[in-house]
Amino acid sequence: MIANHMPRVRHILPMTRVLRERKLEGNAILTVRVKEKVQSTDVIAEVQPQPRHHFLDLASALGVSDAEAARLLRVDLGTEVEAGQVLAGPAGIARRTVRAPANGKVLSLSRGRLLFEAREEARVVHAGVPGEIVASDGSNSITISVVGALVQGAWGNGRRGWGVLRDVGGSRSARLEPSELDMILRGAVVLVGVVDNPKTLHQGTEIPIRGLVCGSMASELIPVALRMSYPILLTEGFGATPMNSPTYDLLSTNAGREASVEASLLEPYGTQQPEILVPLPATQDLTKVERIVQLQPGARVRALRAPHVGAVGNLLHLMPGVESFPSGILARSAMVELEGIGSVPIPLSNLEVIA
Amino acid sequence: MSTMHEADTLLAVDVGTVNTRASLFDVVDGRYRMVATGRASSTAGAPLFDVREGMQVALGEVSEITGRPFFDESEALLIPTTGGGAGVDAFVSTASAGPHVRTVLVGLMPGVSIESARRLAGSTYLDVIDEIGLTDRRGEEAQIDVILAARPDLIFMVGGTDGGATASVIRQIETVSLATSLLPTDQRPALVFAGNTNLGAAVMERFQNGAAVALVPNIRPSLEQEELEPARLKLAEIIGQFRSQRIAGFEDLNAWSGGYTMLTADAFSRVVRYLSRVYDPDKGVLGIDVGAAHVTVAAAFDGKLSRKVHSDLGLGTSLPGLLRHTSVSNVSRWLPMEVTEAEVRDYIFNKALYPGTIPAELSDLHIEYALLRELIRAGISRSRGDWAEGASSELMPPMEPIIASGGAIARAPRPGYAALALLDAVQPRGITTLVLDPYNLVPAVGAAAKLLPMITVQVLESGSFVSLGTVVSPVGRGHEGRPVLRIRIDPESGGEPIEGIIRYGQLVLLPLRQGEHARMTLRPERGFDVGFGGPGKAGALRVSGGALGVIIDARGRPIELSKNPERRRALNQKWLYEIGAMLES
Repeated sequence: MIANHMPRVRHILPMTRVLRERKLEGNAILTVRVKEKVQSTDVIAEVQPQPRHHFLDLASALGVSDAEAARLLRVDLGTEVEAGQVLAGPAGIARRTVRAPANGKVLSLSRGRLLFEAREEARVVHAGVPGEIVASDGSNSITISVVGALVQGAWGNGRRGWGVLRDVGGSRSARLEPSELDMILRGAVVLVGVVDNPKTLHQGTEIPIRGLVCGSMASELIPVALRMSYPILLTEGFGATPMNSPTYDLLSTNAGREASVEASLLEPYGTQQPEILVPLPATQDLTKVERIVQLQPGARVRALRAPHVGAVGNLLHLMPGVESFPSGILARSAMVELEGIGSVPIPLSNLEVIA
Repeated sequence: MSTMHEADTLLAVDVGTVNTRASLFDVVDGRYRMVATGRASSTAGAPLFDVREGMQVALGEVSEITGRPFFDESEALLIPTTGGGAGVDAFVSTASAGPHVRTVLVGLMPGVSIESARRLAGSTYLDVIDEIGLTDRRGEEAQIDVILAARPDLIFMVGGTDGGATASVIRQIETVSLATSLLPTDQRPALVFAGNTNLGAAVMERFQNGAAVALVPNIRPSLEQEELEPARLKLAEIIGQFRSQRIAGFEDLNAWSGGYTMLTADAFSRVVRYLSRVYDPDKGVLGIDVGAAHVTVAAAFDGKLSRKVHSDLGLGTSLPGLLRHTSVSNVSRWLPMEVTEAEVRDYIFNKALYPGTIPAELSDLHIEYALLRELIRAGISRSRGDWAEGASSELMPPMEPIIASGGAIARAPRPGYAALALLDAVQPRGITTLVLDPYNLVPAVGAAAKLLPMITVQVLESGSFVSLGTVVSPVGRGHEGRPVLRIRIDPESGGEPIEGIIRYGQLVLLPLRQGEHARMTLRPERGFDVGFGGPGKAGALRVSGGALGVIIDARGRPIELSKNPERRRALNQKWLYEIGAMLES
């Protein structure tokens, strides 16, 4: 029997092919081509940040009429100019001129006012993962194909980074203390069970580490986590729930390898999910990333809510009708064999499929 | 909406953020009734971004219950009903799912046009990310940069009464025009101008750079007059188009419902306004819909509707927004057991990560209902400023009825849970009725109301809505145990009358089943007002029963919770027992 319910799907895959899209905001110049191989540190694009605009009042600066100001313009509209370059003038006995306040572009002239677009310094975008460029629209996005282990998380602080994966606590429930983050972990992506101390996050900046992957974190640390410059990814959510066992097993097995952490911020109706990718040499046995998976007997599932939050097990069967729970709520449910716990009924809404 | 005028069967689909519901209505004994309903997870978001999958599952459930197929072999909806009993006569759809439309408001005066624009934006699914007004201290170039950085989906321009300001409006329009001309063509926002009507041609002239601007009647034709409806219709159209561009399947819903999927909040509010014209004109009607991503509060007084869609409140993805309006300790004050503030905070953020999950444990249920109370309180408190009555009073204006909708309320394991949450959150005064919408039918009947005017009252009076009961909430203050009122209930069925004295602090249920009526006589003590014309005034009226009978809430208004945490928890526990939400073991 298959449930009339579309479950959430979480990917925990030892070997798969992932297409990682890099969205480039603003004007971008691509520095790579399709089919090119890249390393994590390679620059794949230079992005011009959102420019700032200035009105330059030519007429009043030059002491002339609007029409005269237009006549005194020394550059064509749309032209790129250097900081200090004369834009208009000279005018009058004092031979007054108007110069470009920064590197930029002259956009328009209306009623004696010139709209100037000041160019900011370009920012580079790194590949972040080793792989092959497989697609690009030429300006706004580049897609990199990567083979490796993939783990999806629950929350991220909006940062991205990569480094060597280090299992610090040695268990999926280990709590990370500030003192455990020492210079040995400089440049590492730290794997740990729980973080509940803001000093730990600040210590991560001091070292600095390149990423923090933990099971859960106290929600009161969210504002601190959002300020950190390195990626922080939670696999379970908020509180003190240990990392789920398949995630911990897969990541700890890959400790010592380079990992890429995309701690994407969740946005309503967004497509980006927080993910950890451990690039690996390609083998023949790649598991396909399935976006839609049915909830049916044999499915590997994870409990999303108390009393067994974070526990993983196998779906035994879907229960007929509705089941009553200690809260008094009636819900369509499945009987699940949870690791180390046994068979328990769980509402379908409180399950996600591990694929 | 379908153009059938004598439809027997009506199929309604509501696409929410977490759930998609399908409901089938049919004429039974000459009156419309809901005959079957189906629910499925919404598929408007990741990974599908296609509402059809969720809708098919929900409709599949309805088909299974009724044995009625809805689609032909090409998966087209069968309208009207075929001779073989397949399909339906009419179809309506409503939706609240979809990304918010990022909006920049441009207007003149903060207290006039911008205020009206803000009110309009707050009544629908717009997310106002910035405002540019005449008193804006940012320079023109900074305003251009704001628009460019914001990348809005919509720029809503207002300002100037008809025949009023022109130069300052045009100056702002020129800034917007310049800014939008700097955006790549495929990223230009929708533009709506709802200001000085005399400026229509001048506005069009300023946007000759390829941007299409929609002109709608002025939302402030004069300083004293506010006319939001024409602009509201245009914005609803833009929101619909925006959703269709980003989520697949809305085209099908639009086509089946005659070209238009109504916004859930609009359909919900339409019912509230309609009921305010039908029910006691001296009281308002209050509708509260708590969804995962929005809380909608609609209040109408004799047809005068005020509504707010709070996009930063909701019992799902929007839940963390609650902490901008209340504190964790305010949530905890409604709990009957000790829970640390950290646990409540973690619960809030986890619920936002997994909005479709439900509380299986009793402690989780208590936290969820404590959050529900604060969501409703925040929603009402941020809406009341616009109400036609009672905007400035600490107490709620008299309401009859109070309708509550939304997944969490519908899931209440016992009616008492929902009733107590509503009493704590709304704190109604005088005499009212609490009505639950467990199948989320209000949007459906609201969307169908134009097509089938009788459907609203007929479905409301059917058993599809749960009347929790008549509530009596005396207003006044006293010490615990002091008599508040004497009550007598004479059932019309001829049963034994019920008499008693209600004391301050009590929450009392008196039996009167749903569908039964009785004459209720209330004699409040001096200093207590039950709505019969002032404190101490007695009176009698005919009342209806409900799932809980007649509820007397003598906890005072506003409810003052004990500052002692242990005593407060004990009282919360006691009230849960008294209202039948929890059973004595």
